[in-house]
Amino acid sequence: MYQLPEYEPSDEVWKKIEAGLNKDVLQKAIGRLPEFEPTEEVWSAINQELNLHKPKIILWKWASIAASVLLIAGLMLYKPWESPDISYSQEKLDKQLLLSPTDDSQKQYEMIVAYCKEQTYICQNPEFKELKTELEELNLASVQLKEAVGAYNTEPELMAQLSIIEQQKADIIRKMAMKI
Amino acid sequence: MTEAELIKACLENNRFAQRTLYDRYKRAMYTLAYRLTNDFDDANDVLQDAFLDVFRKLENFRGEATLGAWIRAIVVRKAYRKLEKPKMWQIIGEIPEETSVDWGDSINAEYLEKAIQVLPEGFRTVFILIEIEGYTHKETAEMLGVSEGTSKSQLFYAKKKLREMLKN
Repeated sequence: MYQLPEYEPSDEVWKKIEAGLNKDVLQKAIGRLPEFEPTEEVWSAINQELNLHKPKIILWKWASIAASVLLIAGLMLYKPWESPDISYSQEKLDKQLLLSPTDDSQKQYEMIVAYCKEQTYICQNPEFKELKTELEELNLASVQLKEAVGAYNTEPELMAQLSIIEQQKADIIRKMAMKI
Repeated sequence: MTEAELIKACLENNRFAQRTLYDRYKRAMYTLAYRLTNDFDDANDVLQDAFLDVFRKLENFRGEATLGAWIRAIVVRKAYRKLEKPKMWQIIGEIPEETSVDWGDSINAEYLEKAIQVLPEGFRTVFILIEIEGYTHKETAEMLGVSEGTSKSQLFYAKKKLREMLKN
C-alpha cells in the first residue's frame, strides 16, 4: 500500500483557499460597521406628505359594485320561467338602527396595541398613555352598548349614543396617530 | 405583527402600520443611504423619498423578494440619483487575473468605515452594494446602468484602494 503514489494539488487550490480566508477577514469587519439612526424629522415629513395626498375613494368602483348587486338582485326576484302564483313578503329593517358589520375603530385600536408592543418609547409618553386609557374606556362603553343594541334594534337613542362614542373614539385615534 | 399583516394594514393606509414598517427598516435603510450618498442630509432626503414611494407603491410589491430587499432596491435607486454620475466612473485599466486582496489578519471596523467614506464615488457605490449589501455584479450592473465588467473593475480597485488606506 505504501507504494501507492501521492498526488500534489495545484497551486490554484491554495490561492482559492487564501482568497476565501481574505474575504472572511473583510466580511467580519463589515459585520462590525456602525449603523446610523435617522432623525424623527424624517418620519414627520413622511407623515405630513402622506396626509397631504390621501388616497381618493374610487367612486366609480363602488358604483359598479352597487350596480352589479342590483342587477343580480333584480334577476333573482324576476323569474319569468316560474309560475306567477308565488307571492313574496318582506320585513323591512331600519338600517339606521342596525350595527355596522365592520368596525374600523376596533381595527385601529388593535393596530395601536401591536404598534406599542414594538415601539414602547412613544407609547410611554404620558399624553399618549392618557389617550390610550381614554380609548380603552370608550371601547368598553362601545362593547356594552353594542350588546344592548343587539341584532334587531328598534331604539334610535341607543344608536345615537353609539354614534357619539364612535366619533369620540375616532377623534382620539386621530390624536394618537398625530403623535407617532 | 407578521409582515403580511403589516403590508395589508399599510395598504389600507393605516398610519400606525406605516410607522411600524418604517421603524422596522429605518436604521438599515438610513445607513445604506448614508453610505451611498456620504452625506447625512442627503440620506434623510433619500429615506423620506424612498418610504413615500414604498407606501404609495406597496400594491406593486408581489412578494417575489423579501419586503426588505424591495425597500432596499428603492433606497439604492433614490440614493444613486443623488450622486454626480458623469464624474462617477473613473476610467481604470484592466483587472489583473489575481483579484484577491490580502487584508492581513484583521481589519479595524472604525478605520474601514472612514476609508469607505473617502473612496471615489464609483468605487464606493460598487463596494457597498456588493460587499456590504450582498448584491451580485449582474444585479449591481443593472441597478447602476453599467456593464458587469465595470462593476468588477470598480470593485477590484475599490478593495485595492481600501487596502492601501488601511495599511497606512
